[in-house]
Amino acid sequence: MYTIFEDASGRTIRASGDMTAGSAEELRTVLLGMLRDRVRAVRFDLSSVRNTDAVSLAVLVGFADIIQSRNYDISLEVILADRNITDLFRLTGLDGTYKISA
Amino acid sequence: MNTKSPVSADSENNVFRFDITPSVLQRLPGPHEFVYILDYDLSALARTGRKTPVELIQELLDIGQILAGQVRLASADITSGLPRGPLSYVLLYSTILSPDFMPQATGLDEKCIFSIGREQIVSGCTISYDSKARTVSRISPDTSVMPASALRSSEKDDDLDDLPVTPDMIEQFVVESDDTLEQVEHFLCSLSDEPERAREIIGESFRMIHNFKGHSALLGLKDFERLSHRMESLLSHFREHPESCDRNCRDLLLRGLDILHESLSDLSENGDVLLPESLEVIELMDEMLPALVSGEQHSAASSREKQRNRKEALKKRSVQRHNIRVDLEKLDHLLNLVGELVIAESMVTRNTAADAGRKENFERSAHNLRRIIDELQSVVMSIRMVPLTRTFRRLLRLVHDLAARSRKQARLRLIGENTEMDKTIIEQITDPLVHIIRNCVDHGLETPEERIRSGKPENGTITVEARHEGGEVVIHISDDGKGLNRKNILAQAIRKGIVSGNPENMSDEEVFQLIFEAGLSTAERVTDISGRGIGMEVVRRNIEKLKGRVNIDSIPGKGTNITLNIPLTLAIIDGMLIRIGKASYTIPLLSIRESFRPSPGQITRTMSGQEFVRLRNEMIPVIRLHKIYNIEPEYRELDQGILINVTSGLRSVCFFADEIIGHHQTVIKGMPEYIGIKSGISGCTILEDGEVGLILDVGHIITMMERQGEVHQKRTGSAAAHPVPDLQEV
Repeated sequence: MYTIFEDASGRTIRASGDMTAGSAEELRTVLLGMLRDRVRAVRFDLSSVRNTDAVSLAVLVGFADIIQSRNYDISLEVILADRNITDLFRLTGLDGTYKISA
Repeated sequence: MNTKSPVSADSENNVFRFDITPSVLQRLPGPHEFVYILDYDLSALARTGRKTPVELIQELLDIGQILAGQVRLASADITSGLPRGPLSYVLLYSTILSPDFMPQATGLDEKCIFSIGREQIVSGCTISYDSKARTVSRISPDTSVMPASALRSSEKDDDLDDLPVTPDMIEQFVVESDDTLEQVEHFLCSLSDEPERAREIIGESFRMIHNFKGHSALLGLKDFERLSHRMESLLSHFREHPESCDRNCRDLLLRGLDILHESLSDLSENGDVLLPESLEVIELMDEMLPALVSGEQHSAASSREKQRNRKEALKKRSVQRHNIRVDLEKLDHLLNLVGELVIAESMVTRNTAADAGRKENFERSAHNLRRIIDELQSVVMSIRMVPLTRTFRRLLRLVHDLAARSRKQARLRLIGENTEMDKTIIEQITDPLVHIIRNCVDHGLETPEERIRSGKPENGTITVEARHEGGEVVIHISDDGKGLNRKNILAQAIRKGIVSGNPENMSDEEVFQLIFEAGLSTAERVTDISGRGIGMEVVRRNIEKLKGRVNIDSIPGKGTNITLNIPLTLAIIDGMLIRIGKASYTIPLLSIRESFRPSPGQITRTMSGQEFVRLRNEMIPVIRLHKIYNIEPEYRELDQGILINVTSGLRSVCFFADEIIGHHQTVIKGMPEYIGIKSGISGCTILEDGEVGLILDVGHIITMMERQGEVHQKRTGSAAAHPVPDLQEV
């Protein structure tokens, strides 16, 4: 479900489809791995995501909370997301943590 | 684009704060009257509604605007496993939907919807929501916000208890509501005539009833609020589904309007009012609404439509003017003072004693004074003048109700609603108009079956048209019904002893005028609407009281026309001052076509002695005013004096006078009762020399002379078109 790429600027997590409860645990593991590896920049390639359920969203929210509450020096960026997904980030306030790029 | 959401959440205290920044305000669309805090649990929503956050947000965007939102986990630690427990999503949301529809539209319980006054959404303030205590407040300045459920409740709000309600507030509410309810009534009655505008019309009605409800709540008028709330709910549904607003629905809404309208006067007198009769209507509305609402879905398209309607409504509202109420007596006093000022100005500036010492400066100052007084006159006159719109629109409802009761199909066309008249006069012409319309519907128009048999459209049409003509307002009421039955009227008049002798010689117009006699009715049966021979007598009496005239024409099978000519009493008008012997009279300038001294060759006389003057191929009857008013004139020969060609409607005559003194502006003052209405005088004025001058009522003089047989003229506007018999050259 989630593929990870790494380059000089950081890591990219690419979702291969909608983010659902079924893949939420994998997402959680991937994200905690970023913290463990002290990655400085994470990009979320959501070009294949059309929908996100409450469990996956909760994981993203929890991840953002950890970063903020523990002052991790890490930048999060959402790339190639469609309009519905950028609306989700923007209108839930998550865009404060996950920078949305075109 | 990365925009930081202007919200923050205080996890420990379960408090969400929405900072109202300029960017939040930018996202608040103008038509959105309602702003809410919505409190979702996205986890629960996924379980119960099988809806993802993405789907929820898109649905909310279909029917409103998310100004700001914040999502928060109850247990944010994801290090030990997938998050469990509520995922709160609290958002600041604007929409055009009222609190009643929010639970249904958002899928939220009432307890999770909090209504915020839009006026509280101002830049720089913070809206704070405590999700645990479920309370909302505004910081800087602090203002409490009602849960939507409180708005739905009929319980009295504590904040409103503290609001002092003064008699002035009640009176203002009554005046404004009177207008509002009339407008809504007009809208509902015009629905069947303009089905293509149904959505717009209902949208506007909804907005007005919503405002009415808000004002009722503000004044603590719970019964008003309760009934208007139900009406608002119905209108809100019909706005989305105008096709379901059938006659029954409209009638029910009209019943609601009636109750509210009729209670306004009680409210004005007592300061409070209970509406026990509203319970039945509320019950009926409560029964009607669920059936209508079930299956209602809000689509993006309808949302856009609503927004468009709102924009239009707001556009209209933005051009509304601010009004204050002024005692009519004060206006009368002001008008009289201006009248006196006009006269005083004339007396000073035209004073011959000042001629000798006149200088250029005086002329300039006098000219300036004249200009200012002209403007003052114009403003003062316009203050008393109000359009006929409200009076006319009441007729729409009347026709709607009467047609339903008499099982006929009728539509009312209104022309010239904006024609302005003195407010006092408008109040007095309402009854005559109502009586005429009742007769039109009940006796004039045929049943749909009869109309079809006569080759007419099923729907009968009544037209009411108003216009200014000369110094008067002409109101023309016509129907396309079966017309008056001359034979029937004559038979009734003979039976009641109104007519004797040889009535067959009477003209149609004379016969038709008989319907204004007391007790005479041409109706075949007496109904609960009309037929007792009282209404039309009231018409004549009221119009004569206003020094107006009623004329009637009818063509069998085609319809009936009634024309009301109502003078503008209490008005300042332009007049031409004429002299006959030692007396001076004023002729309203608007009635004058031209004046001239005839040559002997222009003058002819009939065998009966009626004088005519030939003017550009027209033979115009001459009326010698000195004969009417029994004055010794300076001249008796027509070619030595002056003829003033005057018109009233389509009738034209020439008044004979000794000379024209000149044009002046004059205030028409009412005539004393003892002078009566048959003198051809519509009022009097004070002349520049302090003398009293009489103002001639041109139309009445012509009618008077016609009845006396002094003038023979058909109302075609041209005597030549109806040659006068037995003319001989003088």
